[in-house]
Amino acid sequence: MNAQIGSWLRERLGIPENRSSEFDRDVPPGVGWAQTLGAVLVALVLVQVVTGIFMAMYYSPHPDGAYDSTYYLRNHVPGGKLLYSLHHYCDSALIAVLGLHLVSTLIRGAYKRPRELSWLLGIIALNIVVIFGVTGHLLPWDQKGVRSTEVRSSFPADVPIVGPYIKQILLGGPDIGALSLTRFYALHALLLPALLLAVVAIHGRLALRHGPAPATPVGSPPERAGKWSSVLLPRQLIAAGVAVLALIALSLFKPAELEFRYDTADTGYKARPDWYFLFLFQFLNDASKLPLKIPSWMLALGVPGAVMTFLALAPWIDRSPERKLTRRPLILAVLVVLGLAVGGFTARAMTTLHPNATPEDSVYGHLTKGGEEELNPAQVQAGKMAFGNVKPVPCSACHKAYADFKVGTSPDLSGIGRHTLLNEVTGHPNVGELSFYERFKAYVRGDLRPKDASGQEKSMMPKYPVESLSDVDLNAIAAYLSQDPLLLDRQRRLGL
Amino acid sequence: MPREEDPKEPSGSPPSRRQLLLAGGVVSGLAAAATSVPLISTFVAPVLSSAGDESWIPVGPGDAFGPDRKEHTYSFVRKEGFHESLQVRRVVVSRNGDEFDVLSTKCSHLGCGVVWKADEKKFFCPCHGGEFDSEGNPTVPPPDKPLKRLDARLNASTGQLEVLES
Repeated sequence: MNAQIGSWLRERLGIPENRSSEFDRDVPPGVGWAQTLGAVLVALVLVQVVTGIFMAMYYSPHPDGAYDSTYYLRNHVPGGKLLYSLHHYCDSALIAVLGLHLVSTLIRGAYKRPRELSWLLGIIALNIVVIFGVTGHLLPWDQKGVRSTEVRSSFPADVPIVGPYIKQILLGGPDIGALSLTRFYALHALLLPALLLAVVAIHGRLALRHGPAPATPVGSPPERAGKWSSVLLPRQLIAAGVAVLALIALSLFKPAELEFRYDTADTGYKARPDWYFLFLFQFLNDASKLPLKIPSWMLALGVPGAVMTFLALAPWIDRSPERKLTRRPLILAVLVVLGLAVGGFTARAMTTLHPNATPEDSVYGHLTKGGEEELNPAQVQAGKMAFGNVKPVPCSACHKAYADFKVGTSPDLSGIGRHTLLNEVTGHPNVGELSFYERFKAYVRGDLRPKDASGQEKSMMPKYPVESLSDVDLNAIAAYLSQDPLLLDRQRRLGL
Repeated sequence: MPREEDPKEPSGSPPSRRQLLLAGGVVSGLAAAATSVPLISTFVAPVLSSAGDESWIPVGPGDAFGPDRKEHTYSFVRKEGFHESLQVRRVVVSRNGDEFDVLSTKCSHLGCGVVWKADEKKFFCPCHGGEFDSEGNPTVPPPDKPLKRLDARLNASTGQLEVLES
């Protein structure tokens, strides 16, 4: 019966009767787990395609809808947090495994004849995945996404003459806005998936056609250690399955964060890239402090461009038949230099990272179990009362807040529960070790106030010890000031 | 399965196969070129349509500013294609007579928001640690260009400070 269906299908699909499966191919000795990375990547790409399609069912690519729709998916849709987190971690995993795949291929000399085109397609896939990350980052419209896009779009903008035009074409306008979102969304969800799937299909086809590269020099007589279907295929399925299961476990254990809605009012926020761009960030930052006057854009576009060009041309630069790494000194040197540079700059960037306020660590986060719950409306209401009534001087005598208090001349406190507070405060020995909530509390109580050079406190704000402002009232004020000012503003305009 | 072969190709009869193929290539090439016209024009539209829509935006009452620099936030509605969005801008303003000096807080390095530290009379960028003096000239790298100065004027009829926004 099966044979009948098989032959019926083969005739209709135009496949010769006697053709054997690609997986019956012989594989050379020494093939093992290192050759399963390609299969892991195929699995990750499929997970991204599927999770991405289902995320799109909840996504609205508009400045008024992008953040709210992402927040709704992540925090209110059953399973939405897992879907969101899986898509997030899978992107990181794609970059990491692509890096391993690339290094492993370089070490084994597997890019040599006749696999040059597979290699080239792999480099193209790496670039597509990076652009996936760059375009996908903006879509949630949170602080991290918009602010890192602002920085990234500044690099091409600084190119002489054509720069401003390139930036406008990339962003769809002079600045990041509604037209950037639709543009990035179309690239991220339509164009790039089509390109990546095509590249992966051809790359995978070539990998099946050529089989895993042997450890012997190019042109040596082939040796065989067994069939693909028995040696490699089981390992590939296990590796791919374990990778995806591990990412699901990570997503459940530590869901990916959605930062606060993009808001320029948080002036202490530092734009920082994802971990896989940290080396570039640190390299550019360090290079800009050298006396060499090389413009940032030249380094930001030129150095990765040069490395990518070298990698793409590697099969034509290193044309010897040798596959042993020690007999390919140029490739060995490049691997060592790149490894040290990427590792060193990443490690350095990790030590200088300065945390921003996020739903996890912020005054808002303290009141909402790290952003996993909503603000308590009764507490917010009590905070509004306290803001206008505390003794001896009500907050509202000096500070504005939302549309409720409009007279003060001191800083507007709307939404400061979501801000990167008091990062630059001197006069406290270890402000960096305090959570944002502890900083807020210590500031109000008077224990943490910036001082000038002579040790005098600069702030003129009265101190509120626990006798004049109870912890309950202080928390209520914190809740009141943790509301999203942009959301309240929109609700007000809608008459809600 | 053997393919059925034509025993004899008709050749030489006008129009020849070569001419037909050429005609086919020209027609489908035209179709492809015509389709690409709206693709290209919509893709580069931001460059074509963004020039020259500057306008004077009221920032706040001119009397609110004096010789000491002061941070000030204002907002205005800007149309981006189909979407009218509220733009919030932070500037640092000083006034001498009827002359206003309005500095943008957008860092000249990579566009992060700089903070005006009034007591130290300097601008500080939290992203990469750059600094500017009170005139907006870079003092600590990475920035190597001054902060942008906005065109400013006092609107005599409303008493408002206005800046030119694009």
